[in-house]
Amino acid sequence: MPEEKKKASKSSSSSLAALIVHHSVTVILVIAMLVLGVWGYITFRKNDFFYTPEETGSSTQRYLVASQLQRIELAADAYQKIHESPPISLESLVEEGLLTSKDLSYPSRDITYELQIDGSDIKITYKLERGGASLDVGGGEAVLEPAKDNAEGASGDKDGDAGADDEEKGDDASDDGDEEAHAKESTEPKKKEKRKKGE
Amino acid sequence: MTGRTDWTAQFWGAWRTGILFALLFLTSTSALAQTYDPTEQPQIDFSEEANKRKPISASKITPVSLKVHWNLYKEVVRSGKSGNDQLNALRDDAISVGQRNLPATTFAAIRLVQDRHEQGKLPLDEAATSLKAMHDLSPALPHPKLARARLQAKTPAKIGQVVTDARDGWKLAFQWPDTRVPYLFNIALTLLLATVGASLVFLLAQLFRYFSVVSYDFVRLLPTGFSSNQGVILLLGAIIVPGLLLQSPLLSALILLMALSVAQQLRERVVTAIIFGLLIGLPQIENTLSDALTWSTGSSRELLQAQYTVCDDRCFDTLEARYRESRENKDVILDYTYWMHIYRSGNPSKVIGENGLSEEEIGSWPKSLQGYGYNLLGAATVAMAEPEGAIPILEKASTLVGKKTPAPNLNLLRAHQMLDDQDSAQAAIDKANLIDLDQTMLHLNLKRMDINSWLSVPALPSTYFWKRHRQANTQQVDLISRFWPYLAGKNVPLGWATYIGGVGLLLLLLTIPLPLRGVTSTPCPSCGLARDPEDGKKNGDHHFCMSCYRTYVAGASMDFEARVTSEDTLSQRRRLQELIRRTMSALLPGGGHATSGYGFAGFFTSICFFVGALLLWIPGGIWRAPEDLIFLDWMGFSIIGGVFLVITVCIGLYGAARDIPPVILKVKKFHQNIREGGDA
Repeated sequence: MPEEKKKASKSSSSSLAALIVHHSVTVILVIAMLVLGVWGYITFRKNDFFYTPEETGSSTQRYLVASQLQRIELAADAYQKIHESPPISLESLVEEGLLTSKDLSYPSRDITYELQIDGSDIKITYKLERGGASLDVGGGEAVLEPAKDNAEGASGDKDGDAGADDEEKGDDASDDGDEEAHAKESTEPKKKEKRKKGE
Repeated sequence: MTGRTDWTAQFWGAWRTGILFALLFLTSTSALAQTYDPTEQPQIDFSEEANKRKPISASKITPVSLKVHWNLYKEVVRSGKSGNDQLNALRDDAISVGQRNLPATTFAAIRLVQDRHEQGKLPLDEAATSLKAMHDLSPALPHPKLARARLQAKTPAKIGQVVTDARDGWKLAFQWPDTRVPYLFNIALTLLLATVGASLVFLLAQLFRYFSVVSYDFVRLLPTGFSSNQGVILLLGAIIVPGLLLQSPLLSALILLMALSVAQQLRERVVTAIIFGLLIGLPQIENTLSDALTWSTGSSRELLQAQYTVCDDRCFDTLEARYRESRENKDVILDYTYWMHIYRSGNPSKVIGENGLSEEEIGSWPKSLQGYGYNLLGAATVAMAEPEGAIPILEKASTLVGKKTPAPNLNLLRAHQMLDDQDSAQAAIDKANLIDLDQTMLHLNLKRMDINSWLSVPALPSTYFWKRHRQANTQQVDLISRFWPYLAGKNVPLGWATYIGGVGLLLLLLTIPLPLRGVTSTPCPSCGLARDPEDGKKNGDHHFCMSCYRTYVAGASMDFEARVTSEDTLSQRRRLQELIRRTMSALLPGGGHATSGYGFAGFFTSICFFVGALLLWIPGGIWRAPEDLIFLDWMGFSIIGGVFLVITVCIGLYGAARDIPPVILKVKKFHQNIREGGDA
């Protein structure tokens, strides 16, 4: 009997401890929730929980544009091989079946390409309506220039031999801080010339 | 049980058949690489003219000659003939002036042939022959082969040829860097996106499967006094609060996966390990993708183009300027390109001249490039009619290049011919045959005695240019880091991915013994709630939880008061589990399998589903290869995407229609241990 009493007493004290723990935890949880709620209210009153980075134009896009310029240039070369004369417009490359119509505004609708004929030379240019960065393809090597609205993100040397270009880029970027949507244009020097002569 | 086994067997049977088919296709077709019959002996010209010892002249071909052949070809094709001879003549002239691939001409020719064939003015066989000659004109480009496969694909009788051409085209596409790099980039990006999608599906499925189990075990861990509700709130808090404080939904999702992984079985742990492994490698993946994307604007590509296609005066001026600049910082590939062009443009004397390429200088090059350098030096020496001096250099080159190119042996042939040593010449050609019969035959068929036709100075293997690009590239493209903040927020940078993944992987490895020893609970295959490991003591090691087991054993015959849970409740739980499985399977193929415990199969199916969808959506990938004109999807990725999508959607719908019975997990055996004398 005394053992049973002991057991009962032990069980009773254990239940009491459990009860205390339970209520303590409840109180702590309620306080924690309140604190979290207040913190959440203060923090997210003005900001969204989901973070949206500023739209500064991706450097990925610039490389895609560079590749696209190379495609269009090759298409223009092929067109000239077929017709013995340079294409009148980029649309004629589409009509010839060398490019698709979507190629003329790839990788985004904000980018369009233009064809300029200077004698026997073909000059491909692109226009960027807003965002992103300009790039310049010259002598078979595309030189990436920082965007006017993304100067930091676009700087960098390529293969250790474009340092001078990068310095120029930095100057361009700092000189022009225009944040409005603007058109940028880049020209492609006469890479055409070498292909024509070579082939 | 039977249904599940049958279904699993069917599922895996289908995939195994696919893999077997792919292996058979690859192994059977790889044996057909050579064009020429190996028993055919190339004929060496031992005529007096060929054996004459005299300096080999530069090419006498002018650009007008190339233009004439091209215009003739166009006329012939327009008249309904293949123009094979004209293209071969154009190729021979192009080789003579040092141009081995003519991309613009090739695409113009492809378009011309397609156009005439579509108009019905060029028969299929003639068009196919023309495209074959185009491959000879630009052997590095995959497009003539792929165009030929496309052209003949509609003719069932040509299916064998279509398969061969498609295979060769694919092979070339993954050799030629201007297609290989963009294709691999697009494939890697597609796989990455598909894996991210599949990971989200997997996480959702594991949430359905294991959250109640993890909550139950968490509450078991807590001291007496914590109620179930408090335990669940604490667990939720531990998952949500870090993400909330750092404003990072991804962080919470990953903590959730870590928490769920504690209760996961081995198959599911493999998938979780893949996800955390991917997370660890994410910064490195971005670097690699960055290297790939910058390829098209890099100087290594220019050097590749200069060696493989055309390098005119302007290109040479750039090369020379760079060569002069790089004297202090040695750039071997640039050096080789420069001297190669000096040679090709008809100045072998400059190569071996006072300020030219010396054996000592080549000796300082990396071992893998020395062979090519010695071959160039040897060829220039032969061209200057000094075969005695050339032979030891070319033999050294032959040893160093091994089986990469037969060029040194072809040049040795010419050197021995000059000395009228027919036996040594024959030995050299035999060696060349063993290395590359096609190239040897082509070389021997070039009858012009100029330095580019009579001797062989090949371009470096394309892999060297890629290695150079990776070493030299310092550009970083924000390919992943640009989108990372959308998921992870601004307070968790991409650099943390490695550490978060590492912690997840470590936790995963450390907790492997828990399910193996039966310490953690398992999801009940019937109601989906947690089955306590201790339940085995009471239910004879049955895999059901106690509620389901008692109802299962006693059925509805029990008095209401005696039942642990009413049949209605259990039935509702069962139906809910079934509904979740079926819905997941129907909406997200693979999700149903992951919910049922087939973690790896489900994850794999989900990846295939997303890969299929992405390939169908953007078949050519986001990076359009600089030389992919005419078609966006030269490789037929949309077909592969369609097949993947159809198969995975069928798997998903089949799972939704038939249900995917949950895996019966191994549970801790108490009673078996007792029988065997163990301590239960």
